[in-house]
Amino acid sequence: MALIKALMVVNINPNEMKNVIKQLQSIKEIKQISTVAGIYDLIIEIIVEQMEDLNDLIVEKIDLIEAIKSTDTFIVLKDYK
Amino acid sequence: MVEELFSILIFNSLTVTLLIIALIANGKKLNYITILITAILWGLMPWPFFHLTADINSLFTIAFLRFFIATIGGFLFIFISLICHRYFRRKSKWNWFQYSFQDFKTQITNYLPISPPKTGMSKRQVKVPYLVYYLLLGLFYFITILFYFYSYQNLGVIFTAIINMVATTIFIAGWNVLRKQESIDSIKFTYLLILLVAGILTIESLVITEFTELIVFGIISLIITILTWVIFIILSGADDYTQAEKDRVLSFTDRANNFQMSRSMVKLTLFFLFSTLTLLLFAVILKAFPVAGSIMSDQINLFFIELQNLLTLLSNPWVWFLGIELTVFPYFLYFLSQNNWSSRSLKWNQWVVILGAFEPLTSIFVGIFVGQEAHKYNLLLLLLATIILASTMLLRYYHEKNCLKSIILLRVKQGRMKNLLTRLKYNPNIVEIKTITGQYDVVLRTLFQSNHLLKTFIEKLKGLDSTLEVTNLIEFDEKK
Repeated sequence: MALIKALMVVNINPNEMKNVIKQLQSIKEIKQISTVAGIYDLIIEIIVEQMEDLNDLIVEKIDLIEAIKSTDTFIVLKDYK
Repeated sequence: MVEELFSILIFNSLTVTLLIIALIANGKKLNYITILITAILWGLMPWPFFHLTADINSLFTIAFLRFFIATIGGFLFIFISLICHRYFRRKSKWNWFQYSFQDFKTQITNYLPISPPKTGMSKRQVKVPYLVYYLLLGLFYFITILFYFYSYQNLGVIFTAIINMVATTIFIAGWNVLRKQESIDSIKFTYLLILLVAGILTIESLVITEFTELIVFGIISLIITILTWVIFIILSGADDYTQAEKDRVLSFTDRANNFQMSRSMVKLTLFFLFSTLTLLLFAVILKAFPVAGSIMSDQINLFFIELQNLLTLLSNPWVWFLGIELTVFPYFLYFLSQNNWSSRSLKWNQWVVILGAFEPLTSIFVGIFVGQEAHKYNLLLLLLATIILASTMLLRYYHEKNCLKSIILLRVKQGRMKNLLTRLKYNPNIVEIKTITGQYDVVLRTLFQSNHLLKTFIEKLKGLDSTLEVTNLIEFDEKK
């Protein structure tokens, strides 16, 4: 079965960056975390086996991290490079 | 005889082991090891050269044999790929080294400078621009290699390898700055300065008691090599995909790497063929209009005499090692590493620049241990030059590692996605392209050497017809 890849942009409350990264690092479905400057604070790459896993990850893990202000998730359709 | 057999055994064990390691590394996506091994294989070139000059008098003959055998090797490689494509069509991808046999047939049709007849009755037509392109590349490449050999013979392998690397790097950096494709920051300036110091130390370390005619000829040969090599690199870099090819690549993006691989190998083989042909043409012209008493005229006469015993020459195993193991193999690895590049931290061409110093470093070892050239040098100065040369790799790595990473989110106009993706795919600064659902349509990861270059790129993106919104995020750190 093809894996589902998603990108999530995250905004974090001030002074909570280290704490959030630490918590995100403990989630096995998150393959990469990039700290960025701009309208978002973090971009994370997620790989799951099915849609339901992505839902579980967002609802039961990421949404529970209090220091996260907002998120937006994009499903990757294709890797061109 | 025993010594010769021993040398053949050591040489082959080394090159075959390196080739196997390179293929495994490539399969495991450790392509920078493949690049490293490519540089080492190129650096080993003086090894067969020392053996061949003991049996062959004209360096024209050695250069001719190298191109001739590389042409045979290249066509053999394409032929085997076509056979494999035909009979192993179902298993199109060999995962152990990430290479497919598809598309060779199309590439041959595309790149042969003669097009097939349009109708059954009409004749084949010569594609003039392709022919001129190959003739120019062939001419510059054969002149580079021929005079590189003359420089080897008259100035020594170590001197030639170091000075050639230092001078071409500095010239190409200068050319890129002039074309505004590269900016010189303080670290890169230091890197070029250190290379220059390594070059000066190498020149100082060469012990020349008197400037004989041969030494002067060696210096002229080295200058010609450097200039033609720079022109060759610039010419070969100018070859981009045509619009039709870009569209075609995009229609099978998951096979695009293999398309590029077969394209590179077909073009490489053709350019070996044209190097062979232009060398023969050059030799015939010099034979017809000899310059009395010149070194070249004597060499041409010897070349035509030696060519009469072509079969005897081809029975020399070192000729095949030079043409196949140190020419076709490294080029194959070079393209293979490029086409399967997956590392996000550094681009393929950044690693090529960083690890390029391994080529002269390998030649230094070959010059000392195989060619026994140590007596030609003030060893302390040479050691210093070698250490400096090796240290440039660290500096260059530090420089490349610290380039600016960014993530760019794009919103694309309805109906323009395919066109935009085609444009972006071959931009060397874009290391990753993803199409996504949601608020944005495309995500790019880019690597730029400076703020200025990133800013110019974003302005270009904003100016495109296809983009509605460009959001740039500077990436500081990657974790996990």
